[in-house]
Amino acid sequence: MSASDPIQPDQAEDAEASRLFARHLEVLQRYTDRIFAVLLILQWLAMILIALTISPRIWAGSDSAIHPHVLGATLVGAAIISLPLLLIIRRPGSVATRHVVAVAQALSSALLIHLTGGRIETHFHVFGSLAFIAFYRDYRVLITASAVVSLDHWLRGMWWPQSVYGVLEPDGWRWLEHVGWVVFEDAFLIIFIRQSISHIREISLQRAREVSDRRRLLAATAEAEAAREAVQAHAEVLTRVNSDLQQFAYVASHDLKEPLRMVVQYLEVLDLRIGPGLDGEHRRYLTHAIEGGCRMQRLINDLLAYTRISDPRDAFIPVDLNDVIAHVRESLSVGIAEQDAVIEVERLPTVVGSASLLGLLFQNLLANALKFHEDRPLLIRIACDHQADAWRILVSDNGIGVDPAHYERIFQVFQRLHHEKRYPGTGIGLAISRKIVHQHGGTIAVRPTTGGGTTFVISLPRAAPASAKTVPLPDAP
Amino acid sequence: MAICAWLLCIGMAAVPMVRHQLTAGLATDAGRWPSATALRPFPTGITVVLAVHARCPCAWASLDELSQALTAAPDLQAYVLVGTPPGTDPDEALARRARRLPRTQVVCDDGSAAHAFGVSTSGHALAFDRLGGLRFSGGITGSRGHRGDNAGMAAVIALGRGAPPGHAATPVYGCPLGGPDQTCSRCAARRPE
Repeated sequence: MSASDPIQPDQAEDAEASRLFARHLEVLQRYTDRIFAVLLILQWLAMILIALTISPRIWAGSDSAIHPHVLGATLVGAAIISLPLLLIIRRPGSVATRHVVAVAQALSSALLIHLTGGRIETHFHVFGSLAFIAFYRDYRVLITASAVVSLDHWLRGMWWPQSVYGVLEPDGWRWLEHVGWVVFEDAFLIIFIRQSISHIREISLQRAREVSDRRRLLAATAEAEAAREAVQAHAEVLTRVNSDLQQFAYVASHDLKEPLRMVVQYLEVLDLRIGPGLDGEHRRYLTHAIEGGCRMQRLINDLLAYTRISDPRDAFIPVDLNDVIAHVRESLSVGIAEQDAVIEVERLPTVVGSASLLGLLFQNLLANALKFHEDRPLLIRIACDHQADAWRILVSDNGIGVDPAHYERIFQVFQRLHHEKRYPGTGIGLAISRKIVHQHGGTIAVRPTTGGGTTFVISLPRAAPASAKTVPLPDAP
Repeated sequence: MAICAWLLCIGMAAVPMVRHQLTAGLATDAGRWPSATALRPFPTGITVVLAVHARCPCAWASLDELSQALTAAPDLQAYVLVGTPPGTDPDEALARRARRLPRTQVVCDDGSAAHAFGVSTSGHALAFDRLGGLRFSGGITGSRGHRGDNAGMAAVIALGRGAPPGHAATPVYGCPLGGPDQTCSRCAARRPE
């Protein structure tokens, strides 16, 4: 990977984790510096107090003077804490500062042991100091402090053993015994430091992941927002174009109706006046012209109906489909009687929608069933079942059926599967039906009926579509 | 460089303290049990005479070391001469500590007893046999105010156990006792006849 390659997400996460880890450790070490600033000063004051308590003055008969221990605790103690305090103020958190603090703490232990006359109990100050130094989470500082303690015990063991061991002539390896206990504690403290460092690393990595996830989420949200805005813009364009097209279709159809009506009327007048005198061939021409004009009128009417569906004029209201079917049956009563059709209707629900459009939907479906059937007695069934969030209405017949290859095609405008001579029509009825269903937020599909025929499956939402103006939920039938 | 200078400063500041710690006082003695005192050697075993300055902080370590010696060697018996400067209460903490020692008589000394034994430094211990012969003379601490094993205490314990002492004399670490003119009137009133 070259330097110009973009940083991969994992690398960025690792870099962020390293930055957080370093920051966390620095804060911790600066905080420990401050603790030691307070501790060193308190220790110094405590040592002066100890010197004043144990050995305040030296005496010569009735004469007395300040004991050298008091001066030593004051001056040596001040010298010991001077450099670490200076570094804590000037360079908090630096490596040099904490090493000097460690040396100062070890020297404080040495001075304290001396002031208390080499009491073995005072050696516990060394162990407490090491524990405090471990707060730095830097085992090298621990080694520095331990080295100073070891050196102090070794040197004083050689030159002035009573000041550190309380005995005049210790054996030569006594210092190693003391160092051994220090190393014993160091081992545990180093384990603690490693665990603590590991814990800080884990926390840093976790935070880095959270930061990374948040950034990714923000980026994804921004992308989604951009996509939504793009879709909204497209939708607005489509709506505008669609509206223009509908307006165009409506105006064109409406403007065509009047001249066409005049053409057909005058052709019919001609047929009435001169038709009987024409020979067979010319009479047929005139008849074809009249029929063509009438067919064009039907096409224009259907096209106008189709365009009106795109703009339902009446608000959606609760519509009882049982009433809708009853009206449709009434309007198709002549055709039903002619075909001697049997229509079985189950109890249907009330849905939210347009009563007129739903009437047109079922009229188209029933009219198709009446039209496309063979010689056997026609049976039409209208059934209903409900799903979680939709009503499913099935309109089935035992007619001629539809080739599955044309299941999609039959819903397209002006698409016909049969010649008009055999099954008259404009081929727009099912397109209108699908449009009505879509207006109601539902779907329509076709499938074969068992034993032959066609079943239209209509799903209408139990709740009103988002575009509806009035939305009370219907109860189940 | 700064660290070296820092360590040097600490070392230099510590020198007077260390020097004081390791500077021994005068270690004179009368050579044998003096006749110019009402005190007498105990009839059996070894008699230890320890002179201390009532206000000398180093004296506490000497008393602790004597306590250890008395515990370690049952044949040891002791006199503790508590020299008290004028204007101070002779019955103070150090004297009370001395009275708790086993087989020990505490003497409030106006300086005459210490003078009779020839000692002039607090913490000076003398060990005599029952006939008043001096067997050991010196300090029973290794330095000023430091407790712990040391040659003086080892010698006293050895004598108490009937063994020859490793050292007949050791340095004495403590404050100067002062003469009889520097003791209080109450001590003078309690002076043993």
